[in-house]
Amino acid sequence: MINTISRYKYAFFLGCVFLFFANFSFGQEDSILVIKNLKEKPVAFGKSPDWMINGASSQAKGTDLEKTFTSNFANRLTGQIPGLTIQQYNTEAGEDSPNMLSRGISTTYSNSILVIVDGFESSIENLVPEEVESVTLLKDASSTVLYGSRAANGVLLVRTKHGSNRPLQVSLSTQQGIQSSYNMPEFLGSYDYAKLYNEALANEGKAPVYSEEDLAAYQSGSDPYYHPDVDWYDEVLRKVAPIRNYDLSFVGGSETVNYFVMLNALSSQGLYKKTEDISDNSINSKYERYNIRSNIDIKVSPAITANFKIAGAIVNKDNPAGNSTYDIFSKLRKIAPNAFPVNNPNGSWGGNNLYSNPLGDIIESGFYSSDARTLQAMLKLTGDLSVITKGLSISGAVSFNDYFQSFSSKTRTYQRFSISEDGDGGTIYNPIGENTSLSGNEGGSVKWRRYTLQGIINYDREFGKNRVSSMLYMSGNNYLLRNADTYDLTSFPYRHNDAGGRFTYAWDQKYVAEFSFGVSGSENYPKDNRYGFFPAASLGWVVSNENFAENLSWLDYLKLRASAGLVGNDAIGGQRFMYNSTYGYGEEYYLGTNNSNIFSIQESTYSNPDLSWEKSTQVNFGIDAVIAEKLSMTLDVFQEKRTDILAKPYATVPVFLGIQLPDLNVGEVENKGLELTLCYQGKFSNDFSYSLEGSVWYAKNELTFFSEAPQLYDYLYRTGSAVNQPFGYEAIGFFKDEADVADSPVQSFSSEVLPGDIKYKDMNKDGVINQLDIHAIGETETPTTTFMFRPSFKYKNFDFTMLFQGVAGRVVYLNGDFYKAFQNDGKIGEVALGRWTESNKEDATYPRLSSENNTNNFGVYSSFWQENGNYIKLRNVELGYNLPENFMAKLGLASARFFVNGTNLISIDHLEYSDPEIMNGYPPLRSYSIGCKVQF
Amino acid sequence: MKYRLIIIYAFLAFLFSACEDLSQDFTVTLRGDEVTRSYDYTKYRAIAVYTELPNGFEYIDGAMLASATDDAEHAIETSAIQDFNTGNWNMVYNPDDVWQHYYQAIRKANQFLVSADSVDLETYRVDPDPGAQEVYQGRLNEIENWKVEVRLLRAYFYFELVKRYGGVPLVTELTDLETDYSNINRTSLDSCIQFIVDECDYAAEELPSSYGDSDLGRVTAGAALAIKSRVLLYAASDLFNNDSWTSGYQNPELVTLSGDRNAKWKAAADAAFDLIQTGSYSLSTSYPDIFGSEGYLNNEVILARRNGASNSFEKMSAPPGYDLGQGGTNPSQDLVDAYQMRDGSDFDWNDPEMAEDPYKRRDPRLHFTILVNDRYYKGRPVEIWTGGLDGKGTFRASKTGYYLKKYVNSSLDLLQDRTSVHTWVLIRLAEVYLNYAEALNEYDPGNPAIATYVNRVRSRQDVNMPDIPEGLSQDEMREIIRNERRVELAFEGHRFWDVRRWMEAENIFGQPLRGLEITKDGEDFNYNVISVENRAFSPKMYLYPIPQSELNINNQWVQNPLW
Repeated sequence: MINTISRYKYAFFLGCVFLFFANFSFGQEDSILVIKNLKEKPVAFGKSPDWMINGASSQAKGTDLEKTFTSNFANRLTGQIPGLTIQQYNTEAGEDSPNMLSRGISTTYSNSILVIVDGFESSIENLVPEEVESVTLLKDASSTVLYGSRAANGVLLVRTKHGSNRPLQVSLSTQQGIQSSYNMPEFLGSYDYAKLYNEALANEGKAPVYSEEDLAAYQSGSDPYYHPDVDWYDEVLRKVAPIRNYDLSFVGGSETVNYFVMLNALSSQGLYKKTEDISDNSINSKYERYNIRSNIDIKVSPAITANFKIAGAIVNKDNPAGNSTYDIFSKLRKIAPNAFPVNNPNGSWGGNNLYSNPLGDIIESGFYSSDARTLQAMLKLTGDLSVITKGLSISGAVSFNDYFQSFSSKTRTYQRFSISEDGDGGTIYNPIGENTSLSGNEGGSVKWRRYTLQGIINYDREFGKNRVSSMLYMSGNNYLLRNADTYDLTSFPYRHNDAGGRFTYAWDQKYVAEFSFGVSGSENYPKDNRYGFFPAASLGWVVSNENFAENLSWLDYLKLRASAGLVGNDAIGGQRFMYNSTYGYGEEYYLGTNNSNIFSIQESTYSNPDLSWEKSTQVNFGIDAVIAEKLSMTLDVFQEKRTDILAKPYATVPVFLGIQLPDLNVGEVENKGLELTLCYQGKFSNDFSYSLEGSVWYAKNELTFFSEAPQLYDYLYRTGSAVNQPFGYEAIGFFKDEADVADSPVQSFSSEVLPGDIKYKDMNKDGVINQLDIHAIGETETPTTTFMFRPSFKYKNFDFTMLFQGVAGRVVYLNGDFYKAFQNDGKIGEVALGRWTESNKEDATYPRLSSENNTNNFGVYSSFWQENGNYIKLRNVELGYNLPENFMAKLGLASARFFVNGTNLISIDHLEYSDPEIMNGYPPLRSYSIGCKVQF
Repeated sequence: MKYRLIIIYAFLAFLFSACEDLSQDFTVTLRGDEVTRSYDYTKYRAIAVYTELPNGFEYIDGAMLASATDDAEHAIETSAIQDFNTGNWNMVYNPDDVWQHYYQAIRKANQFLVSADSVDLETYRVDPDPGAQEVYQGRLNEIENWKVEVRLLRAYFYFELVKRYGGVPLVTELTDLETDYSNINRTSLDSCIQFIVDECDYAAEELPSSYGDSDLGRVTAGAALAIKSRVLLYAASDLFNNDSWTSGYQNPELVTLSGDRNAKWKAAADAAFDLIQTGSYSLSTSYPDIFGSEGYLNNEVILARRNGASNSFEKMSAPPGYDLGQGGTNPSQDLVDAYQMRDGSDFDWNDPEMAEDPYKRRDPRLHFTILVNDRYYKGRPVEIWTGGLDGKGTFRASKTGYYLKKYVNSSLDLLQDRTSVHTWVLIRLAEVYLNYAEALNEYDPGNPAIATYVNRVRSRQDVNMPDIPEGLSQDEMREIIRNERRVELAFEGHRFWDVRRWMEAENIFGQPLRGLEITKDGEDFNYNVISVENRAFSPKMYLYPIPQSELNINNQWVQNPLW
């Protein structure tokens, strides 16, 4: 089948051939002034002078990103780019990729940003800021439309550094620091645990299990084996762990060759104690990464340039007891301080039937390593076709982007003993588990590779006051993901064909009009529906270049922008090829005298023969201004309507038809918001300058249609709320007494409701609290508002900068074990000290204690456990000192800078007992470091 | 120079022409037409209907249905099964939400029935070779049999719906997204029962009474008769014949049957006897064998849900003092007390000798079914006393003082992850005997066959309980049969429904559940009966509410009584 893009393909080919011959047949045209390059900014598939850009984009410089010291590049972007919201949920090195959102949430499924590194789709986790020139977020349809069906969630463009025609400069830097945890949960010791456990039992009318003697033993610590008091965090973790970074780069060039070459090494150790030194069955927890990059630009002939970039990262990660630390940390949060001692009287490991010993686990149960490597290689050739007509060039590029990670584990089980007294002063040891030898598994691996071919034609020229800039591109993209453990539809290559063009016309640097489009195709859609066309248009007016503005000397620059367009989101969710009606293998059944297994086959989910991508209509208005050479401002307001989001037709198909409902393109979400950036640059004296930069960005969405099943009450509908809006019961205090329980609507989540239990609101006033009383409570975990403030000062040779980042319009759910005293055989945290008791009814901040799992208080999703999730964090602070120039000249150095840096030093938030971002697992990390950078 | 340029421009042109081929479909799944034409795939489609049979081991959120009755409590408080006990279930939330499950199963069956004949057997049909003709005829017969099997399974699914919801819509044709459902209403209870019974009758005629070695486990004519026996017993029982609990419900035809009660009891008894007199099944000499790893071969089993080898039920059920034990199902004191003494007398806490050692000289089925304190189990006595390895004070200790033994394979080494086959018995001969006795006692009290069949159940070789007394009144006999049903069929998923159909649930399920507190005093144990938790039952819970979403979308449907 010759489809649309294939036809374009031939047109392109013919065009190229034509141009190729034209090269020799056309004569020189009159020379026309090439416009002076003002400040240029990256745009899709190239760069453009700032004044010509009508769309919305914002940018961070690589040097700013160096100041947040953390191993994952994506986390360095926190607070740096207006419109980009970074949500980090895990801090363990290698597991810490955050959720990145451009302009908030616009769909119920994937809001993932498209990440482009040097023109090709890639990932950014393993980049280092030393190799990055800039990171640009393209936000509105007119900036992203060239990416067609993958543009709707925004595009993050990363440009790496490159050489220029100047002598070699060598740069050597190192940064040495320590990481420590902060905002850690505080649990109560054995005495409080036992006392409060007795209180919980008493609440339920049960006899205490801890006697006065027990309590005394816990308090005095006199009996560490039968009355232990173990702080597992202290046993397993150390206070600080080192993190280090080394960087060496070479940049320079000549008339014909420019280069940027870099080597970077980063290592960080985990917070676990160093177990390798204790046992042969373990390994120290660590993360190491080596990055290399070589960007070479070669002028092959006056008309032809070649860009060759190759970059890679090698990541080695070791952990005892698991590929990640998740399991150990959940045990640390669970095991009661008096459950068992770390070691028994005879030195064996303590343990019980429910939990193994966390310290034993990391010392005795083996170790896990993973080796990952990424490779990004790209070759691009650009031919200048000025001989045909000035300003015309074509380029073609090929890119290979590869990732491979292999896993190796050596595991064993080890013996623990639960101990009891035999009555004669002796100890009975009950063994749990067995000691085995290490057994290895080298089988796990994940790999992906992306292979892209791309061709671009550029035409950029000025005729008098007219400036024309245009480009056309097409590209084919093949992505393959292979996991050693998986074989299913995801194991097949994902293919995309994309094409697009952009035509910009500017007059007299005053008026800019642009039309651009993308054409995208993917095999994920039905045959007749594989290609989509996405157009966008924009207008810009540089007011400050008008004659009437010449008198306004304070107005250096003012531009008004407007854009509108249609873009798509290809990450629609669900299975691939949903347009096919298929049968699949189901659960096996067993027949015969040998109970032999036998296959079963059944109809899979109903197909959606009209399957399509999500469509997004976006409108953006913007203002850029520079006033009195001191204050610059950028404001963008936007509105987006996302349609064709997959949703099941619950509204129209009853369950008793027995159909496994298909996903249809019917859902709709609206999203709107703004971004404002202000920057003031001033001077106290010639020696003392400063800049104050602040941004705020806001996005609020609403699910406008989702084909929900009809509901009894309007407040039960998710439609009309934000995507991911929490729904739950509204807590209205604690039950005061038995009479209060009796007089209130019936709550039957637990077997009994007692005074001090959480009371819920009866929304439908039917006298019963049940699922019909659930309604929208609080706000989403994704903030509506993010802001940043970056003051920086320069005094003589000193420089000082800080980055504050904060969010608002966010609610977190206090869901961890820490908040659920005694639940699921767990322990008790300080938060429970404010519990409801007969003598503390009025000021209680926590429900009465329960020894058993109490669904009423802890199991149902309610507003009681919601907390304001807003915060302000000092993301980084750095004080630097540059050695005086004359001094350096003596040493033969170009520059030398020493600095001290702190990352994540301060958190101002509403959570007394945990961190508003990292609520479970590996603790939030801060770092203190010193470093120096020498250039010669 | 010029050649260099040509080469480079040609390369650029090549890049422009490079484009991915998007026309290829990848499939790891099968297309509908491939499936319906293939003999093997059609066989697998019929098997897919079997996989919808209920599996009672970890039926609701890890718990057995028995933990929603007065027979047991589930150790894990957060399991959804507890919502039955606290009364936290309704038309928008039901822990046993099978409405969708069984209607999807019914659709699967309907889909099989419309396309089973599409199997392409042409190569055999046109081949004159006798061998080929044999295959052809054999496959035609197989396909015919599969269709009957699927119809019987569909009838079983409908009964699973009817016993929960009363009259439900009867969908016997294949539907799709365009189906106009506005005229499909709930069918009357009478029609539903009649439909199920008719399907059973048809299947009993058409299906073989047994299969060869490789097909053992498919539904048989006996299974059809046994299902019919159960359906008619339910149809004769109080719940579906006495609308007093509905408080003047406007649509009695959905929840109450019409017709003569005695005739119904007779029909139920006759149906049970039809199965009994086939002689195809016999009581197992060993009670625990029925629930062991070879239970599926046991000749007492009439219909079973087959499974592969596993050990998750052992992990869930083992006392917490044993490796990987979760404490799972905790049998209640109420159930333990229902087991008679070995001599046929009732257990009584007021008898000092019995109270002194409550587990001595009891109906052997007690120890086959329930793990009691101080019994030797997996290498040591189980310690369910306060402070013991499996008793109060340890995490997940039994709340009732008992652990489950029935169906639990105690010989598995869980640390080594050993597994064994678990077959969930859906109907066995002892149930049909008790069905027969119960129905007969209602319309022909005093008939000697009543005692005969109850005694047969009691006199199984390794149970060997004495005969029930003679000369019992109808009421006394009813109590005996009900108690026998309770102990014989404990943890097999019956109690939850039996108590409802007897309309005794307010008295029985509304009472606090009892357990035992055991303390150790030197070498002796003290036993103290305690209340474990309060239970909630109100009359509306006799039937499940129709899911509210269905009522919202089908405006003319009516909800069940009192919901």
